[in-house]
Amino acid sequence: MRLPLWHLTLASVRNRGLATVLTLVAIALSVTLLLGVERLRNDARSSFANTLSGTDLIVGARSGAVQLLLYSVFHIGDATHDVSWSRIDALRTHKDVAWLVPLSLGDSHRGFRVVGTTADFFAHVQTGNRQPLRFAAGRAFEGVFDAVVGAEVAARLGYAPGAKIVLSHGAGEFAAAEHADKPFTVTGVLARTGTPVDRSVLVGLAAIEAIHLDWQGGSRIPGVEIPAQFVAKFDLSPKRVTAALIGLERRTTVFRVQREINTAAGEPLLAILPGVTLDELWRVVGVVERVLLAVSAFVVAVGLAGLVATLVSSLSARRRELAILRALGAGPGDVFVLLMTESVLLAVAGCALGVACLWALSAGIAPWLMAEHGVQLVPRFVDQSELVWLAGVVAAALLASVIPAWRAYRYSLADGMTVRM
Amino acid sequence: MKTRQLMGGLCLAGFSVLASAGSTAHEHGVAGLSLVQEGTTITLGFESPLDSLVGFEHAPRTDAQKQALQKARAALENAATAVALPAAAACVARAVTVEMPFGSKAHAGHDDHDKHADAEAEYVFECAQPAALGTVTVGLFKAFPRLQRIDAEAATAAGQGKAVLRPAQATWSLPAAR
Repeated sequence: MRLPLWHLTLASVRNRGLATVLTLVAIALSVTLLLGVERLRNDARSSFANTLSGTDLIVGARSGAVQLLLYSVFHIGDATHDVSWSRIDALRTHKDVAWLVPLSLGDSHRGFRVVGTTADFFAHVQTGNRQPLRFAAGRAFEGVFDAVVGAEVAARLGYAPGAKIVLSHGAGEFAAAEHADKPFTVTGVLARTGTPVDRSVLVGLAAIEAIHLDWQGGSRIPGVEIPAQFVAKFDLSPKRVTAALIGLERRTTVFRVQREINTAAGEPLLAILPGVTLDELWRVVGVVERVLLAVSAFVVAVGLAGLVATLVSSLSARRRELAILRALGAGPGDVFVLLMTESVLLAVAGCALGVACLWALSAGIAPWLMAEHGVQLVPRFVDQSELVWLAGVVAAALLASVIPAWRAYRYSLADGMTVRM
Repeated sequence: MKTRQLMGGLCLAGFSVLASAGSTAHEHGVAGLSLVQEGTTITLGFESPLDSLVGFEHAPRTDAQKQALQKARAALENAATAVALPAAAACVARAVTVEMPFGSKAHAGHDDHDKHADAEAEYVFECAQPAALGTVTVGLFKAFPRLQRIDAEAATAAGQGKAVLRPAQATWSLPAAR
């Protein structure tokens, strides 16, 4: 009775356990790296793209377009300048502007950014595919010292409506820069969006003015202290804001309004189309992405080279085994197929292990990525584009396996039973 | 022809009223293209340094230069080849407006504009199936070999996006609906 070839393959793989396992691990790790880079790239892109929708223009002080997008929407980096409120207020009454949401950045609360804005924020800011913001609990801010917190802030710091919080000046590194005299009350918690809004503390523009009444140039004015109950006596209308989000009446006017703002006389302003600027950013980042992808492709090549090396080096130890197979009636073609099957089997097993590894890894780091970087990893075992990559790896393995298989084929033709080892 | 008359008026007006491409700096060889979709109306704006189209930026001095200007205008006015929309979208060109310096007789001989001169064009299409607008095939590279790059910006119902088009990649994939 002739044993099926795959039985021999399995037996032969089992016979060289350690080398096989190590080869398998090398291939699995390289596949994990390749797919991981690709998955992170795709998911980061869609996370960024889903951060803001329905906003036609973003206006800020004239600097770089990408910079304006990063600090106003993604809370990455800082504004070099702010914009006077009168300019922003004038845009609000522009005939083509449907709504305008001002943003005032620069304060923080325990590592989370404080965004000074108006209640319009909750009405007009949309994420994903035009999903409006929703309140998980409570309502928008009304009073000067009311605050709304994002889902991540509420979850991490355990806030619910009614909680008292203290904002800090700047990034909050120094305790001395705390606005401890003017505590805020949380009035609402937003539902999770998977965007930087989750990591924001939202307050009214008047609140930003109020906490800085007795401050000047980034520090408290010595000897001056204005208690919270008296701030209403002061003019709390905003003087300067960092940026503004704009929605237009009709989309057709977007390029005209953009040009109008960019070329207007007076205080230099910059208007950008967020989606256009995001594509500009991807063009810049794309180079790095391609380098990363190339590096991980090389790592896969190294893994496959390891596979071939293991098989080739095992061949000399297996010459007698192959000769016995021949004596038992296996043709040289059978030996070729045996070796091919062995190496492709290892490659496929390596891919499977790599996918499992990736799945475990992405499940493990997804919460951290979301919380720290706002990148949402979509949980999935393997998707279509990843299958294409896997098929590529297996195809490369198939090609590389020809080397050991061909050598085995040659041996099996040339060697007799009395091989000198 | 109606567009020609409109042209002269625009030229005299002295400033751009077209929904032209995003604020691109005057860079020879580089042009800007914008696309806005509002319902079934698609508006494309093209803006380019005159040099990229005809090779000079002054009032035409020779017959060859006058011809070059006329040829460039004709190429820009041909909406079907300049910016070809997919047949599935069933688009009909509704208005084509071309604005070029030194075009009208009134301007011939003058050379007192800025150092630079720009040509602009606007195309308004009415599309029965705007959802089928996946790509725009830009024929401007074929008409104007001096054109090296087009920065194309789009604002559609699906979102906003930017692409950099080159003679070898003249097909513009518009932002896809998410």
